[in-house]
Amino acid sequence: MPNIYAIKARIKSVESTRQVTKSMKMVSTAKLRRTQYTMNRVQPFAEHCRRILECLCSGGLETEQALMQAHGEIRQVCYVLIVGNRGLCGSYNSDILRYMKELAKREEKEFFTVVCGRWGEDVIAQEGLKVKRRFPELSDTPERGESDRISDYLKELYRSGQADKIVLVYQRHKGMGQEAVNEQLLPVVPMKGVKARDYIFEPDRESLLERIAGLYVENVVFEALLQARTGEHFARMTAMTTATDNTDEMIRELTQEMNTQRQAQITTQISEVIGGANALSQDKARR
Amino acid sequence: MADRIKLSVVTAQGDSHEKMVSYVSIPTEFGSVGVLSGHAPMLCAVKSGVLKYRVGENSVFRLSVSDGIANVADNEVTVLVSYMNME
Repeated sequence: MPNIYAIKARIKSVESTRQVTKSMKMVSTAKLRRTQYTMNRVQPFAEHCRRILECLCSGGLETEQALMQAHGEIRQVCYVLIVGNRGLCGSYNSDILRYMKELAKREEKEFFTVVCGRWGEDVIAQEGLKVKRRFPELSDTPERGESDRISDYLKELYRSGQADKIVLVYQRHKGMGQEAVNEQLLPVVPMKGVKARDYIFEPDRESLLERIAGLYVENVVFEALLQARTGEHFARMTAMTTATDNTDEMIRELTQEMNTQRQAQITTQISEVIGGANALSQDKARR
Repeated sequence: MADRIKLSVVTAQGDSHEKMVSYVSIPTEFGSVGVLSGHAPMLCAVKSGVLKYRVGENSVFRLSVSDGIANVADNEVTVLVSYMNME
């Protein structure tokens, strides 16, 4: 049976763990809010971009635009895997990796991956996924400049023919959880079923498509990054809340055990005193 | 002239500027394009420069904008740019 001092020391260490998990939860909450705020801010731009692309694609006219033209034969597929920046966020990272592995198993063409996020360099390498490039220096609350660096690289991959199809793989934040999704980024799939309107194009449709296709790709990458980060912060917040609750429960149990021990000790001491007193009085009576 | 056009200038960073206006002049490669209410649907490439708009009869406001794209449809002018700055 552990003594009171050992239990006390244990409680102290659990309390310090609790302090850490609680602060991590608060940090995640703040980062989650900041990411959500950015996401809400960029959504109107993305929505307008989509609408303009719809207008340009209405009527299903063919285009010469490199980013919108599918390559004749798909030889190389590029998967852009967005993972978290660090661990301690429940099964967030392992879930997306598992999803990626399933996709890889089903993929019939040759493929490689581009990893965005700091987490799991060794884990991903162990899984046997071919990593062409990593973007580990992404911040916890993504900024436009960072995502533009990734989208420029991806656009170049597609233009140069190193990849014939680029797919984003990330965890989309949904309600109270995440959902792993894969989204084709390039070639840009023209929206179908949009009613054609008589638009005036200034200067012409092709140059407008060139502008908007680039903007559209940048936006999709930025949105995916924001979604993935929101999911990561949310997962970490949930994990840390559970951890804090568990430490609370542990402290309660340890305190109870300590009190039981203390009471047992007191009871033993009292019975010893009473026993001693009784023995003394019996001794006196005999004399 | 009544302010019938809804002008929104939105940047990639998420900044936006919305206003009901009566006239918008958009800078393009081939000079400025003026938009009054009832303009035909139009998509035009915006060149970095000064976007002017009029509120009411006389007050003219200016916005510096970077390269982008503008969508004119149903009395709404949406300008998507990378950066903007109110003059």
